[in-house]
Formats: sequence, C-alpha cells, structure tokens
Amino acid sequence: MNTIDRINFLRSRRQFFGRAATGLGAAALASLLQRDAIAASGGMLSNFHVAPKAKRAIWLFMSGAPSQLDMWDYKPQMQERFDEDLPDSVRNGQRLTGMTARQKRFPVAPTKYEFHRHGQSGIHVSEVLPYTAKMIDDIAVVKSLNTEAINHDPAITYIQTGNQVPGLPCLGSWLSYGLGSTNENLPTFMVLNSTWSAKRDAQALYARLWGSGFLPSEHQGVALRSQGDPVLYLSNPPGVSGGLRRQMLNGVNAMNRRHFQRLGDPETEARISQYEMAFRMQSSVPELVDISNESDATLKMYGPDVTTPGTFAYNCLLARRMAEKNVRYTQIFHRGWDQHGNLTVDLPLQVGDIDQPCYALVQDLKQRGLLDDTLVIWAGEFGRTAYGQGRLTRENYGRDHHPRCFSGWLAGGGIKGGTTYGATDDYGYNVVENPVHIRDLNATILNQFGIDHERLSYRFQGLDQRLTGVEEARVIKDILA
Amino acid sequence: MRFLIIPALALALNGSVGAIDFNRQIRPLLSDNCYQCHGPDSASRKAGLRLDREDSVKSDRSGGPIVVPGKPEQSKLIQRITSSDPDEVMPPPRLHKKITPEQVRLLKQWIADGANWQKHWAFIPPKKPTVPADDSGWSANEIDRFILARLKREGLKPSPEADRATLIRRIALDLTGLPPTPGEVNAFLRDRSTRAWTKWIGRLQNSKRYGEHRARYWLDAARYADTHGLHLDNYREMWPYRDWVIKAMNENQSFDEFTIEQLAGDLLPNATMEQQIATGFHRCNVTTSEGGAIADEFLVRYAVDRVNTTGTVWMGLTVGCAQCHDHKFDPVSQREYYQLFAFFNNTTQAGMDGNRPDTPPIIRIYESGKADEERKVRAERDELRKELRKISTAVDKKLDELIEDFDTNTAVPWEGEKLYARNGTNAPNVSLPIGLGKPFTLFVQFTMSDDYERVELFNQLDENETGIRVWSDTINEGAELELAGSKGSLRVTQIKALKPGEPRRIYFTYDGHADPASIELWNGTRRMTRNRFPYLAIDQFGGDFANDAKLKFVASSERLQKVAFFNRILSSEEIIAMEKRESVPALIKAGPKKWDKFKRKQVLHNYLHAQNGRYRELSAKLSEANRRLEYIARTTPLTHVMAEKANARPMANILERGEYDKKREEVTPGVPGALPSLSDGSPTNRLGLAQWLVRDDHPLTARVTVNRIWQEFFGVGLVKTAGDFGVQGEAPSHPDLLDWLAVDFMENGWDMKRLVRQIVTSGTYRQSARVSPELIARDPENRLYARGARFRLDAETIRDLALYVAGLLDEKRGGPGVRPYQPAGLWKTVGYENSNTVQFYRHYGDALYRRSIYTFWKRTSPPPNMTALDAPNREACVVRRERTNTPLQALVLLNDVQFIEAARHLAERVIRDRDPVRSMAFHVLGRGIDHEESKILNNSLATFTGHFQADQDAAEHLLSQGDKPNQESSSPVKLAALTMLANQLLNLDEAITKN
Repeated sequence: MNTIDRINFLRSRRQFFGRAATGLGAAALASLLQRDAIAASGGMLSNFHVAPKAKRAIWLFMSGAPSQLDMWDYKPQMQERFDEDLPDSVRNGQRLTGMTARQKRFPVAPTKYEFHRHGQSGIHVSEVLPYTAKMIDDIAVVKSLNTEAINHDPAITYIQTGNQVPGLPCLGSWLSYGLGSTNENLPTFMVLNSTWSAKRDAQALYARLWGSGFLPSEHQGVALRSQGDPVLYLSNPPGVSGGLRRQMLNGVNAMNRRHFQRLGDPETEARISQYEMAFRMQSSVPELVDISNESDATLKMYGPDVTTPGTFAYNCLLARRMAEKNVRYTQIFHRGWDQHGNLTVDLPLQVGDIDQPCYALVQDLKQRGLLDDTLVIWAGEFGRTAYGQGRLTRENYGRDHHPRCFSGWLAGGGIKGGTTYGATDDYGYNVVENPVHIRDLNATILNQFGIDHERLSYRFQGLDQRLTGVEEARVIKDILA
Repeated sequence: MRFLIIPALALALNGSVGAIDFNRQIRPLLSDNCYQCHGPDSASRKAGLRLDREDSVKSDRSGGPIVVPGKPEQSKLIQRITSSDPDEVMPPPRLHKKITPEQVRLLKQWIADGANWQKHWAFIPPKKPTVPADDSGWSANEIDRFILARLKREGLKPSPEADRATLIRRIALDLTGLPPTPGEVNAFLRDRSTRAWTKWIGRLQNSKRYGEHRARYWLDAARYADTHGLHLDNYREMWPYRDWVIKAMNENQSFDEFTIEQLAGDLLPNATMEQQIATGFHRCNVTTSEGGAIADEFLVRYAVDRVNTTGTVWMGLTVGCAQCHDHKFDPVSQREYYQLFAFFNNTTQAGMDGNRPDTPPIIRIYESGKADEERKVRAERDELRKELRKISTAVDKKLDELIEDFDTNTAVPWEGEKLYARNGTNAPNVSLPIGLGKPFTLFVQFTMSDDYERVELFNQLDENETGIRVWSDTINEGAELELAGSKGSLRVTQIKALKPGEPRRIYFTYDGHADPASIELWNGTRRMTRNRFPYLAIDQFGGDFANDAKLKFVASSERLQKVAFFNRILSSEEIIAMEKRESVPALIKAGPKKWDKFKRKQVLHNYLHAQNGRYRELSAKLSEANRRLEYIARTTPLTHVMAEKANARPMANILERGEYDKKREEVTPGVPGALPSLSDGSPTNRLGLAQWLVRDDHPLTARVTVNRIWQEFFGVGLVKTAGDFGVQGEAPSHPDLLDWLAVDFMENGWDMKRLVRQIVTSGTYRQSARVSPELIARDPENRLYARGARFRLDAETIRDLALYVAGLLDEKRGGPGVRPYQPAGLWKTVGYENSNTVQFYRHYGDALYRRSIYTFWKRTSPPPNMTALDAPNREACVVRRERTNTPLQALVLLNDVQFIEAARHLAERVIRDRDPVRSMAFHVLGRGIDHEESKILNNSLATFTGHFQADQDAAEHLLSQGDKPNQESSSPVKLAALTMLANQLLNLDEAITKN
C-alpha cells in the first residue's frame, strides 16, 4: 500500500472499527458499506435519511435569555392590564425561580416598545429590531419554543446538548460526527464568543456547550478567538518562520515514516496526515480571519463594530466567511441578555450589538447564494416572564426566567421565510398553539441536514444516545419551504 | 447485528465454535431488537410480553408460546421476525431496527438446539475457570495461557518479545507515567539476570511516581476537579482528596478498603481523618449556587450523580437509565433505583454550594496544636468584640453631645499614617520600611485614562530584583501590587470594573507572612481578595524582599494623586472609617437629626477611632485576633467530605419520571434483586452498600475493577464497554480470563499492585507491537492480543514526559492545584464576572513544571493543552477516555510555550554531549538511533543551524520562550537549532506513544 492507500484504509478502518464498534446506532450501520458523499467527508452516516436542505448552519445564540415580549411576541392586550396581578389561572402552577419565589405579587409588565407589521408577511416586530424587521420575509419566527429548565446553566446545557445535566455532546459535535467535514483546511465546527454591551455580569458560558461529551473529542467545537491566536496554539513560536516549521515537519514526517516501517501501525500514518492538516491550518485560519479584502459595502452592511475583533458584528462576518469555506457548523454566542431589572436600558444596548449584524449576515449569505443551503438560527435558552421582577413602571422593569414559551427565528437552509409558528396566550405566558419544545427545534435542525434525529445515535452506557434524548421529538414541518 | 457485521467483534463473540452460546450470541440480539418494548421496563412493555426472562419466553400464551424449545417453526418468535406483513413483523418498521437473515438463522438454531437459557453473564458470580494448558513454553503466567488458548483457536501466534529498550520505556511509562532515563535504559540493557524484569517492576512500583500515575485514572472516574462546575464555577478546595488517592495507590491499599473508605469512610467506627478525606469521592460531583436555582431539584441531581457514578465505577451498570423508568435492558427497576438513591439521600449537604470553597460538610486538616490555638483565639476574639460593643454602645448614647467637642481635624490624620504623595507634590525619594514580618498598609489614589495598557505607578528606586512595585492595568481595569523577593514575588491584583477617568482608591495590606493570601487588596470599602482561592500569581518567598525600599514615583503626579503608608494593617473597620472620613465634618455640621443609622455609624466609628484610646487599643487587638484566625484558616487545608444527618435515616421517594417535585412512594435503602442481597445485620446506609459491593459473591465489582486496570495497560478492556457490563454492554473478549483475574484478585485480598504485576509480567504484555497489514485487517483493535499494545500516551503523560526529559519536572508532591502556562483570556471569555475563577493567573517558578496531576482543573474551561489530547472535563464520571488523533493536538505539541520551553531545556541538557543529536534522541525515545534516523536528524539540525545563522534574532526570539532561563552561555544559534530539533523529537509519533 502506498501512503494514500494506507490513509484511506486507515480512515475507513477507524470509522469502521474505532467508532462503529464503540457504539454506532444499529440503524445507521445498516448500510455502512454503501459509502457515499457523507462517508467521503468522514461522517458516520452512510446516507441521508431525508433529502438534505442545509449543508451548514450558523447558530446565533443569545445567552441569558432575551425577552420575547419586548422583541417578538406582540401582546397588545397586556397594555391595559399594566400592574394588574397575573391571574393564577394563567400562572397555573408554573414553578418560580429562587429570585421571584418570595415576590409578593406578579404584576403584569407590558412592553414599553411599539410593535409594527413588517414585510409582505405583515409579521409584528418590536421597534427595537429595525434591521431584523427589514428581513422578516426571509425568516420564520417560532413563538412557542419551550423548555423545562428555568435556570441558565441547566437550560443552556439542555438546548445545546439535549440534557440539563453536563456530559453529553452538543449539536455541533453531533453534526460533525454524523456528517463529517466538507473542508480540508478548517475544523468542522467552530465557536465564536462575542463581546456584549449590557451589564457586565453576564451569565457564564461553559466549555461543555461546544464539547463532544461521550463522542470522540475530534468532534468538539474549536473556539475561534479574538485575542491571541485565532485558534489555540496556532502560531509558531517567535523565531520560527513558516518555512522553518515546514522543514521541521519534513523531519518529523521522515522519522514517523521510518517508525511506521518498523512497527506498521496505521495510527503513525494518521499522525502524519494530522500534522499536515495542522500545517495547512496555520495558513488557512489566518486567511479566514483576515477581513482586509472585504468590500466597503459589505463592511458597512454589518455596521461600525464589524472591524473590532470579538464583536458580534465581526463574528457574523467571520461566520459568513466560514460558510463560504464550507465550515459545517458555526456557533456564535452573545452574552448579556439576562434582564432581571433595568430591561429598557440594557435591552437596547444588546439589540444594538446584534440587530444589524443578524440582518447583514442573512443578506450577505443571500447575496452570495449561500442562504439556500445555510441554516441560520437565532434564540436564547428560555424566555422571560410576563410579570415584572422588582420595581415596575411603564418605562422600566425587569423580567424573570420563563421556560414555558419563548421566541426564536430560523432562516435559510430550507426554511420558509415570512412565517410565524406557534402562539401564546394573551399574556405571552403559555403556549396555546403548536408548541415547539427545544427537542423539536433540534430535530428540525437535524432534519434540514438530511438527518432523522432518531437515527443519528451513538452507543454509550448501553443506550443508543441521541441529541433529542428519549422523549418524542418532531420536525416542525410547517416552517419548511 | 453489531457483531455480525463487525469482524473484530465477530471474532470476539464467536470465540467458541459449535453450540450457540446464549449469553454471547442470543441475548445481545434480543436486547438490541426487542427489549425496548419487551424488556425489564414495565412501563413501556407492550402486550405484557417480556423477552428478558426465560419463564415468560417459554410459557404458554394465547396464540402459542414465544419459543418452543427444539421447534423453531412452532415458535412465535421466529414467525413474527420473519413475517412479511408490516403489521405483524417484529421489530415494527417504525423503530428502524432490523434483524438480518444471519441473525434469524442463529435464533432458529438456538431454538432447535433446545433454547438453552442463561442468566446474563455479568450477574453470575465468577468462578475460577481451569487455566488452559500451554505446552509451547511461551506462557509466563496464567494470563498468557488464556490468551494463547484463544490465539490458537483463531489460528494466530503471539508476537515475539519486544526489544529490551522498548520494554523498559513501556513499563516505565505504564507504571510511573515517566520515561526511563538514559542511565536506566543502559542499566536495564546490561542487566541480563532472569530477574531483571521483575526487579525493575518492583522498583517502579515502589516509586512515589507510581501512585501519581495510577491515581490519574481513578480521578477521571471520581470526576475530581478544583471548581464547583456549574454556573459561577468557583474554586472548591478538594485537593487533599486527590492526594489521598495518590497515597492509597502508593501504599497499595487493598481495593475493598479503598472502596469502603471512599463510599463510607465517615461511617466507620472512630473514623480517622484519612478515612473521612476518602469520602471526598462523592463530593467531587458538580454543584451549583445559581441565583434562582431550586435547592430540592439540585439535591436530587447530586444524589442521582452519586448513584450513577457508583453504578458505573463499581458495578459497570448504567443504573441511571432507571431514574425515570424501569431499566429497559438490565434488571434494575425504578423502585430499585430509588433504593440505591436512598443510600445517598441522607446528607447534610445543602442544595446550593454557596459558591464557597468550603461547602459543608468539610473537614479541616490541622497541623498539630493549630486546632487548640484556633479555639483559644476565637474565644479571645469574642471577648474583644463584646468589650468593643460595650464601649461603642456607651459612646453612642452620648454621641450627640460628644460630637459638639469633636474636632474633626483630629479625625483626618490617621494613626501611623505617612503621606508620600498628594496632588502635585510627590515626594521625590522616600523610604518604606517593608520586609518579611513587617505588616503594612499602602493606600494609593490614582486615575487612569484609556490610553495605556499597563502603567507603572511607582517602583523601587534602584534596579535590584527585590522591593515593591505598583502597576495599574486598563485592560483588566485593575491594579497590582508586587512585592518582589529575591526568589520570587508576592502579587495581588484587583480586576474589577474601575472606570477610566474616575479616581481609584486602592488599599493594599500585607500581614508579614509569605503565603499568597498575606497580601490583600481593597477597592475603596470593598475587600476584593477575601476568597480562599489564591488567584494571585505568586511564588513563595525563597528569600526576603528588600527592607527600606526606596520608592521612585513613575507616574505623573496628576495621575498619582495620593500615596499613604501605614506600618501596620488597618482593620476593615478602619479602612471603612478612612473611606468615609472626608464626609464626617459635613455630617457633624449637619447635626445628628439629619443622620440615618448608617451615617450615625460612620460618625461614631470615626469618633471612636480618633478620640477613644481604649477603643483603638482593643480594636487593634481584635484586628490581630482576626488576622490570626484567618491565617490559621487559610493555611489549614480543608476538603469536602460526606456526612449523614444525625437525626434521620436514609430513605427516598420514588420520583415519577425522575422529576424532583413528583414524589411518590417512599422506599428504604436496598440493592437490586438480581444481585446478591445485603448481608443480614449489615447497616442500611452507605457503609452497608460499600461492604456489599466488595463481598466475594458480588458478581460485578471485581470483574469491573480488573477490567479497568487491564484497560490502563492495553488501551481497551477485556470488556470494551468498561462502564457497562449490562445486557447492552459488549461481551468480554476473554470471558474466562476476566473471571479468573476477578476471582484471583479477590482471593488475594483485592491487591491492586499484585494485579498490575501479574499483567506486566505476562508474556502478553511484553510482546512486540509490530503488526502486519494482515493482522491489522484481522484484528484492528488488538482484541486478541497477538501483539503488544500500542497507543498514544494520555495528555498528562505527554506533558510530564516533555518536562522530565528536559530536566524541568518539579517532583514536589501534593498540595493545591497549580496553574501553569495557558493562553490568555480563556477563563475570561466564558466566565461569570463575579466568579473567582473568571481571571486566569498563572503561576511562576517551579509551579510551572509540576506533574500534570497537580494542574488546577477548572471544569468550565479546563487546561486547553490537556483537553486537546482527550482529557475529560471532569464534569461527569469517565471510566474510559477516547483517544483521537487531531491537528489541534499537533498544534499543542508544536507551539505551546510549555513544550517549546521543554525543548529549549532539553537542548541545553545535551549541548555539551559528544553527540548531542544521539543523546537527545536517547532522552526522548529511550533508545539508540539507527543510521538512517541519525541522517534525518542531523540533516534537520543542519537546516535549523543554517536558518538561525542567517537570522540570529530569530534564534534569540525562540530562546526567549518560557520563564526559566538557560544557564548555557554558548552560541544562541546552536542552542536554538537544538531547541528546534528537540521540538521535532518531542513531536514524533514514537515519542508520544507507548512504543
């Protein structure tokens, strides 16, 4: 066997034995020998379960839980009930967080913001989102998202990994595992953490949110950083040029080949190819983050923050650049949405960070013909209460955590723009129509990638583990084009 | 299914030819395809049919029995799985499960042969099987006889023994996590005695490094880390437990005791300190104190984690499945789950961890005499407080009159205060009486603009290495005091939001000690570094730091507005009074009627400190007592332990669907019915559970344990699914060997060192890892052991190896976690602003070079060079690490400053050797290199030398990486070139792999 044959042999060997035997779901194995496009990219699935609509996804995650009542879920009825007690029949046994459990009453807190109809679809959007409103016909707004978790750490872990308890792989890792990479020079799954403008003590993030859990760690997200090396340890040490590194790697490879001759372990050959990939990344990643060749028009579209590394705008631009390079999955985190108080001061700061870049990202993808097969998702980990937390005035208020309903949107990747799905009651407190559990959201995302969420599984602890867990989950067909 | 299309597994499972083996061939098939609806879970059971029990399968049902022994064609099982009617066929198409024709054939043959039924193998207590004969003379011990017997059946032969250099490196890495030195390799090569191998094993097992390496595996299972894990992810002091595990491994504590002490050390009669520390095992789980979290919910989660971890680690059972419903595959009902849960449901621990480093129950590990001293000082302190309260109450009563005579000017200059700088009038040259044993308080008021990243406010006058420096930092919006000693420095850094342009008022206090917490920092009235977590970057003083440091004011007087020095520590009350003193004259002028209770207190405190000598004296004593108590507390290690509620007995409620607020029937502690029952008279608490786990007739514990230890040496266990011995787990590749080892282990007192010795003295272990393409194709994962194991070293071992061969490794043992190099900003990017681990401060000095087991582990952002190499994040129990091969790993080993620095020191180590290339390779690979390798390496070195000759600055740059300077004074070009060569060698597949 020559090297290429060996590597191919090795690759199939590792997929076949290394991973399959650790517990690929039975169903996914059924036709393992029919290798196709997925297999060529190193994914575990042998074939798509349904016709794929998306090749990549960009998740715009608003950590801290943005208020659906001030952004998306239009409840004019609440205005007349300002400061009235939320009826018990509406609250209906919903448990309270430790923060409002001792609050004596639960006064209705109508939004301060005006909502207007936008686009051909005429969907109501709050005035705080002027840019997102402009593209309302490109997106599908889901108003009936819901979860069980009522605190940040469990909730964000839940929506990302399908379980409130740490230890499971996140969506991006599942996609990497199932579908592999379509890019030779960049990681399959990238993570971007953004700076934010509201109060500083934003909810924390956790490495587990892009962790691979029980899946092999090659499926974990790679954080693209705005400080230091864009990818950890990417740069050669001072004094070591690219040319010198190349020569050093030639020496490494020569020694490794010699050792391979001696022992014959294909893992040694795999090491050679991984070092080569590392070397390629040393040029492909800096190219990725070099935005100097972006046109003024493009930069302008994303807004003035776009040239500041680490801002949400900058990260959105990078996400588009990654989509161009076929990075499978990009997760952008934006923190600071936990408005327990002072909402009308902090919310405008937060939307100031994200509104224009969200718009620009979707339009930029569209202009480049990438939106059709790039799924964009926007949401937080839960919603916020219809009743006020702390001091309540018409002008300012706070809202506690609310798991029973929240809003998010999807665009591109086979999503039907200009639609809304699901509805809540007059208080924006309970879902009254078409509930979408976060499991359903995940099932829908997988569906757009051509994956039946019940059939992407990994044998761990005796079970065929899935992103959507053991409860039933359904694809939200009504928002699909 | 799985085993039919995967040759490796097929090999393993079809080991015995001829009769169908129910446990290996039939049960997995039924389990995979049928148990989801026809298994142990009563809630999801369809048609009242279960196929996991013989009586149910063979009994008469309407429509005929499921299985008629000897008559496949009359068996409903066969009819249904072969039906072409979509409504009839099993499994139903919607489940996406499919039984292959080959499997149908197997099932038919099994029924035709009489449908022999067995209990699941892992639930039958192991018996010592007959050891197969070996007439070839290859076998060194029983292990080999089992391995060989199987190889013979497969028509394979063992590989020859690996060469001796390979062997000594393999055994040293496996037993101590460090490679042999060139001297050790040579000594072993020379040692031709027959006992050479066992002699080396003995030596390595007696080394203290042995426990440090073995403990690593256990700490993955114990989910050990240094932070709470959830939400704020604050520091948790837990390291005495880590050190306990290392010690237990080194002292070869028997596994049964090791088990009992960790699960129930606190419940042993007259439990020793060590036995209590051991119970930290179940305090390692992640906890929260998230605002709004519901305590009851988390208490359930903690108990669930403990049950599941206990199940995985000792029983290899995925009992967690039964949290919400009866287990679908294994005989653990939901009721039985909550009976296990009950063992852990009587803890005094609160649901919220308080974000504290010391969430009760904890124990403090006092040095002798310290506990008594603490009691005494506490009594004194209480007395002083009482006295002070008396004075202040008396004065308070007369305060309205007293203040009429209170000259507010006397309140302004504070006792012992020396002002060194005021606006525009900085003293040019001042002398500060500082030094070890001399407490002081330093007050600095300054402003920062946006323009600077880091500004030096003042510094010691002469350029010697010791003294005092104060910096401020606009990036972190903080300030820093550094007391530079002759062998390191103490620093305190404050990193809170100090807005540019606003005056910052910072107090630094130093109490005269040399430990990190002896300096503190106050931001105005807020004490910022109260926390036990030493998040300052420090070194212990090796020597003193300068006395009478001469200060030079570096920053402009405009920026640096005020510097005041006190040759004592101001108490917190004094600092608060200081901060408020400027408002006191105005308050007095306004008169008592305008005061609320806070303002009144402000005036009172200022009055007392300025006017009442007795109050000042007692207040100073109180401050001294408090500092003494703090000193004892901060220098006394503590660790988290288990403790039972005294006034309650363990019990639990079955929780419907596992939800904490859906309490159903009450249950008492108990063990699953499919396993041996608790001994009569055994306590129904954790102690009873622990004793039960290590009973000789427990079918699981010994098997699971020997399997995990086997896995440490061969990469994969005899049961590959080391955490799942249940029906859905993988069957053992060598069931007889597993049973023999398990029984032998118990018969010999659960002796772990002995078991390890058995493994590494076997011929199986000593085989060469060389493999042919045919054997790779036949047995890719080496499950038959026709060759020696070969796999990449774990993250910690790779780092330790690099430091060790470089001569950098600091083998100090035990103590708090250390924070070696890590790229900047990682903690900050994810951390909650108020977390005490939101800022990463690395250590300086020797702490950078400790063994990786001592690296501080923050769960929400673990050390990135470790996780890249598959170290788990320690949020949950892990009994088997994945091993991947990725470009990110290459980047770590190529570029991480830790590895570059190691390369630089390795270069220095060999630079004066006769043949530095050969010598360096020997250090890293533990063997001599051949001609071709020598050519490759020397060519590389020539290239590197040429490069650095042409660019000497580059050489200097490379040599500047890492803290520890080289002693070498010769040519930088030569050293840099050798550094690159060392980097090359440390990146070789061979260097980071066992062979």
